[in-house]
Amino acid sequence: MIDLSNWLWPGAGLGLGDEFTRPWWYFSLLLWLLVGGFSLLSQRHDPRAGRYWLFFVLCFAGNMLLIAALDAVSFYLGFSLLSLSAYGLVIHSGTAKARRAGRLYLQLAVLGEILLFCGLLLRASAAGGRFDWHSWQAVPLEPLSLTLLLLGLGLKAGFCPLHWWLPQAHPVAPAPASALLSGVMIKAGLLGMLMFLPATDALMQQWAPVLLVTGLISAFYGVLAGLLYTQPKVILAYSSVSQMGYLLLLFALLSLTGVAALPVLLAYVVHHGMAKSSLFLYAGMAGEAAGRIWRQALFWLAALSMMALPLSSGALVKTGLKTQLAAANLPAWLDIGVLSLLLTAGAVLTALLLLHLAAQLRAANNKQSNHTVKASAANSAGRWALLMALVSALWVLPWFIVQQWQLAWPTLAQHTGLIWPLLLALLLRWLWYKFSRQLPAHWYNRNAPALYYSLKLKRLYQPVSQPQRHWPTITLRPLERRINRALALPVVPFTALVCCVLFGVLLLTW
Amino acid sequence: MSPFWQQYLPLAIILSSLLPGLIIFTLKETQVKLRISLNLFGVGVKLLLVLLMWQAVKAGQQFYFSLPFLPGADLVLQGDALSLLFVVLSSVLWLATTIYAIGYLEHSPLRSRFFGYFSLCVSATVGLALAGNLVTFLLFYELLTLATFPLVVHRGTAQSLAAGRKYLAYTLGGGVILMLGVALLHSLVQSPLFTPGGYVTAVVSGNEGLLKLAFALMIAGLGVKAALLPLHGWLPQAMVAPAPVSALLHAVAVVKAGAFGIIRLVYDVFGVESMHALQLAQPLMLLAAATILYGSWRALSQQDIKRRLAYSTISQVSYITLGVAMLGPLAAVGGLVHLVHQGVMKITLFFCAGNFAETLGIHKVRQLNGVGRRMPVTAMAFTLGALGMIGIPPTAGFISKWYLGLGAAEVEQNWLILVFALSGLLNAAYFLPLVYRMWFLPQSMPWPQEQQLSNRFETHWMLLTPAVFTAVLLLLMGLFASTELSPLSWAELIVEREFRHD
Repeated sequence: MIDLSNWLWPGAGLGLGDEFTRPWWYFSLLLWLLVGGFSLLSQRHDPRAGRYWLFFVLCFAGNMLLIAALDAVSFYLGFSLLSLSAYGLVIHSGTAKARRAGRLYLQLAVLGEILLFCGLLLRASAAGGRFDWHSWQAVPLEPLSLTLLLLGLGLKAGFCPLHWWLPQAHPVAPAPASALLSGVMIKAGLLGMLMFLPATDALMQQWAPVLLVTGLISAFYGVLAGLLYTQPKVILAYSSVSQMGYLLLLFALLSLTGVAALPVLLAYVVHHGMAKSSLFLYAGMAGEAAGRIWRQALFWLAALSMMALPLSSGALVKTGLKTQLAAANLPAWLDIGVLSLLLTAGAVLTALLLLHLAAQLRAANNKQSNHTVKASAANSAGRWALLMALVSALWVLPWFIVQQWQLAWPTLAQHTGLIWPLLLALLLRWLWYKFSRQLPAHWYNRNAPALYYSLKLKRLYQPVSQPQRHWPTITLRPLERRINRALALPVVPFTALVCCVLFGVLLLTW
Repeated sequence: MSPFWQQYLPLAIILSSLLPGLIIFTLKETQVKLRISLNLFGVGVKLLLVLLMWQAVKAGQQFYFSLPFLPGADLVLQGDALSLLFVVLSSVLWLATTIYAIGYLEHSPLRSRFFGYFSLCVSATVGLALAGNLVTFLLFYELLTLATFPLVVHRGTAQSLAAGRKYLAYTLGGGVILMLGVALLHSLVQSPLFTPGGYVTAVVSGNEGLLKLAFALMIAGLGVKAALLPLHGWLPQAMVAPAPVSALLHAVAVVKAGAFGIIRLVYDVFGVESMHALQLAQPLMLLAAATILYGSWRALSQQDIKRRLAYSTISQVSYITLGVAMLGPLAAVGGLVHLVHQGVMKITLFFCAGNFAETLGIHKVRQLNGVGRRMPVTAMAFTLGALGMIGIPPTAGFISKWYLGLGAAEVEQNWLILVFALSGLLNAAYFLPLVYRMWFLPQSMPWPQEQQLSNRFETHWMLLTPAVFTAVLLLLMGLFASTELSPLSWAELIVEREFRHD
């Protein structure tokens, strides 16, 4: 631990002493470096590369800082650095769509920051002026500060009722930036929750079932909404909403099972970060994969891991999730049977969404393969090599995770339990094709209402004029002028007269 | 240090800017070099003396100088921790502003007059900071009004004359009301030295009504300069003054004089105990909160950059008043440290606005598009200042906001946190669009009035350096807030001394 409280702001300290910040930090570093290497190649011919790297480095610094932060102010510094710099990445392309999405993103980011600020203030005050979050863990939460923190951090984490910016902002950014946005940056909100909302807290345990249900709703909503879009990156963004729902569910389970769910949560974070980054990177260069079976195989490796194919990291975390749910101390109104049924249905839906994504990517491939690809062969090969490294990390890392955190590999029965949702999804997809049912066209690719409200909001805070009440002004200046003019010539005799009169009055009264 | 020095140091600090100022009045317009050297000599001597005093006050010494003036009220200059906070702020920013003004007014007429009044204005500000009792304070307060008026109307245009007239009407009116308040208080308890914990406690019982009246009168008088809600009208108009003047007006001299007076009044005249006993804190708090929100709301629709900054000042200065009115130690730290932080941030913003106006002729918000490419250093400084105003770490603005918020939670006024949150949102809503225009939008029209002021830099180096200096300062003050040199630790020292009496 590095104590900086005599140098920087009061209470400042950095360190990686925890069971979850240390792996989180290393995992984020790995992902940032891999994607950074990818950006070196992909942004080589970018005319605005300087700007890209500026915001990239700022985001990187913010992300690393907030993970290593031991006190609330350092965390807040890292968090705002990350949030605000990510804006530069979101609107990097400068198109109207990107600027629109960027506006929505920035509005919600600033709102989230302020809410987080208020929440942290209340917590710091409740903790009697100590700023390090370890000592806050023992201080009981209050409903107000819990709400503020949940909203402030949730706006970053992007689970369902707070997800508005996510499907807009992630797709418009350059591919490596969206990989990082979905892979690590939205996890910052979750990390904040782990730090500032202790699982053992009494109020937190009361609220956990609600969070659990919210997580489930978000998991379903993300998939169902994603199925209605055809751009690959939008589908991936909605998939992130759904996956953040699962993570929220795990976060709620943390309060309901003691802290036994923590390794599963960490494994899920690593798994989702890696898989989603690979998919975003692939979606960014899908045009180069047309007709190349090995390149497409990379996509399928990542996608299948997300669909929880046996032996993949997805299988590991999905089984872990189910086990933890079974062990959880649920309130009476949450039926465990229904919940596990819903989880299975969720697995089917996730698989369906990824199959939908694959189909859309193929369509995009066919469209893009007509274009001549500008990048040189070496550049392209380098990028694919980095993607391969990422995908292999996705498949190798679970083995380390299992050893490190004593997670149980799924048993054979559990493996078979994982297979049939996959098969069911395949069947559904096939039936869908076979009968070629299409929803009405206007259901697809709808503009999000959030964008409309964002514009409304902008008009509200950037008014050209405000209603201005005109008070009747009393100007004494003309009167003053008139008096001056009247007094201009006879001022000396007039003064003398006044003096005489006053003197006379004085004499008389005396 | 000899007692002789201790006695005359406060006087010397005032004279170090007053004498050069008086000499400058007698200089011819063409004696540019002599005038500049006199100015810089004055600044240098003052900084040196302030440094001496700062060291001594930190070690716990007191400075005291008095002249017989009125029966029961001497003319007293006193150097304590609180006055040092303001003296250091005004001296350091005076240095920056002097350099800026020399660059800004190059080749313009009537410079002797300008710099003479400029020095006079700083002397009055420092005197006001060092004033040891209310009567001395009042004296310098009025002197400040008179010294700033010629600066406001310096351009001599119809618009600036109108602004000047309004300024004079407001501030002289305020001065008279303040004098009434001081006289009323003087009739009750005389005018002893400012003391931590106040000196009216003994007479509170039996005189509640009169004390409340005196407080209201004095707050009204000080509120004119501190731009509290119904009395803020002069400030947005006074922004027609040249940029260095607006910078000084908004950051150090006038607006801060009002805020500083409120701090003195609450802590060293009435004291926390009497404030509680007389229940004066709540109305002041409400007034300050309303001003914060109103100023921010009005700033939204201003299309003139300096006007927007002016409304932002109205809002930000009330943070200081609010911090003081909460009467808790943490809130007091926040308020005091914001006195410095707001000064540095706002002066940066005004320097930058002046640079844009002087170099490219930009006055309106919509003309800012693409300025980031033409003047990157200035735009960066502006961005830092704007982020500070919103309260984004690691700028200085975050530190003061954090302490103000902690203070609000400490005295269990949670609704004030809502005020801070709303104001933060509004600040973001009127500052971020400017930043966005500067960096992310391409230049949409030719610059209104471009001048080539320098071959090497984006603008004249004398315009650029002060802005960079203050921008770096505001970053350093936020980053290294715990070090001994930071305003934060000095504010903590003051608060410790103020609250130690009980």
